[in-house]
Amino acid sequence: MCGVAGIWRKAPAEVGQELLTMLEALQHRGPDSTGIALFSSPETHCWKTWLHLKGESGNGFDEKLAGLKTALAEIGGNIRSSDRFENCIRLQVEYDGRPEDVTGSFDVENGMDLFSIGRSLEIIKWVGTARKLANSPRTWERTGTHGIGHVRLATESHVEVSHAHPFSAHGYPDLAIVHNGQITNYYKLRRRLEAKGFRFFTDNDSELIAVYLSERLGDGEALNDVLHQAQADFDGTYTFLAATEESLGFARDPLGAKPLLLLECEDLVAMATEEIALQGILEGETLNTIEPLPGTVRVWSK
Amino acid sequence: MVEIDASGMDTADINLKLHDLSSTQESIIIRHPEARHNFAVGLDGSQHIIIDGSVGYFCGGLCDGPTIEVKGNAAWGMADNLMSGTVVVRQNAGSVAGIGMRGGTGVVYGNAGSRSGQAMKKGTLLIAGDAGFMTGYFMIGGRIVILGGAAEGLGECMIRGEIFVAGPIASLGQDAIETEISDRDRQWLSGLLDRWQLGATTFRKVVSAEGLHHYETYEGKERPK
Repeated sequence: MCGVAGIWRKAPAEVGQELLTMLEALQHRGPDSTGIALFSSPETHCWKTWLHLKGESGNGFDEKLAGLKTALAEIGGNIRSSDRFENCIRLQVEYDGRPEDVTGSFDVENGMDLFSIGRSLEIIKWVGTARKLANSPRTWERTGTHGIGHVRLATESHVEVSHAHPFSAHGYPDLAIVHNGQITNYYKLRRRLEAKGFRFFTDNDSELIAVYLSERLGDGEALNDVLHQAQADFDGTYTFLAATEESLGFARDPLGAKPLLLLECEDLVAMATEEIALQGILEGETLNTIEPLPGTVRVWSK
Repeated sequence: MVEIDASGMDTADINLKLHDLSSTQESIIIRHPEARHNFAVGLDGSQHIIIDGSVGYFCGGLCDGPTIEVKGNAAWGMADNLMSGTVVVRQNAGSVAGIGMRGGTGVVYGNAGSRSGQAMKKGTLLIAGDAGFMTGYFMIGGRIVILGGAAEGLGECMIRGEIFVAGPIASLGQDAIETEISDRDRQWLSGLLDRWQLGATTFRKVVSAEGLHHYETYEGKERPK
């Protein structure tokens, strides 16, 4: 199963809170983990990043954080702020250089998972329910123009935070995806990307979507074209949402095996696996929702 | 009229309450359904239930008798395994509407998703808008009536049953063929459309070619005469 949700607004709003409400309504589709990718107003001289410091608490966490500060200082990056949520940490790193330099200083071999990096994007995810995620520091008070979210019922790969959605391609800034389904030619496509030098950090087929998109978006292709190409290359069942700083889109497999409902209003586009999630944010209204046809690709851009 | 406010109530409790009202002559209205799943499932009375909004999956499933009217949309699997009675959806229905119906009538005033009427055995599924791909997939009996267009693969692998389409058919599925429509069919169709206050004049009729009822190839043997 799994449930996906996405919001696209013309003007900044409390998108984080809205996504959380949608995911709470979808929780019956996936109790294993919950996650949100939120695009808030972009920082110009600063990279926002979310990390998970694996399996440790107390001193272990602090030691890793101290190591992180030292590593960032070596490249001339300065931590402007840090917020902790369980064993996850949100950092704002003042640094004008490339995002790879920042992510390169994270000790991924020794228990650090990178969730996201970006001028605008923040991914926060947790093994547990949306209600639990609501306790994370201040993310939900921040306003944004768009975002995507996911509740997971694991069918393959582990139930742990690094395998929770949304996924980003490690080190590629401002790109997030959420996926409901299975990519059945995962190993073939993964080997192809690995041969080109892309690195995978989980065994989850959804990470492949993020890495696949990052390659083509990095080459300067438009999201709409990339999603069409993905449809031609992916086998299996999927409804996935992809978001960048500038756009948000979805792709459905040719058989429409995984549901998606879409609501388009003048200042709001909302989509979710079930209408119950849309009712959550537009309570009491009779909604003119449609189920996009199987094989549909749609993209909204600024 | 009996009113039930769904907000704050467990779905199972709502269904139990509907069950207890099986012989009531009054209409029952459910407020604030908020697209939740499994409304009015497994009822065996003659209730008239109005749901004031949209519903989630399997609305009216396994029912034997009641009339259920949904004012908004219905998600996947409305009237799933309906035994008898009526499920009416005023807006759109998701995929597999009327899956495995064994009797009764399902009516969708908007469009229906893919594979509607999948494996239905008896009864009538009326779709006033367009129908998604592979409508009537593996249907075993009963009738599907589509007033709009039908997407690709109409009647894919259907075994028995009849599909009537007023709009364009994108393509027929495996082993589905078009056949002559009879006066008796026309009479039945006009009665059905009158009953639901809908209109359409010309229909095409799709049935099974029955080519999949038997194996075509026999391993290492002549086909028996």
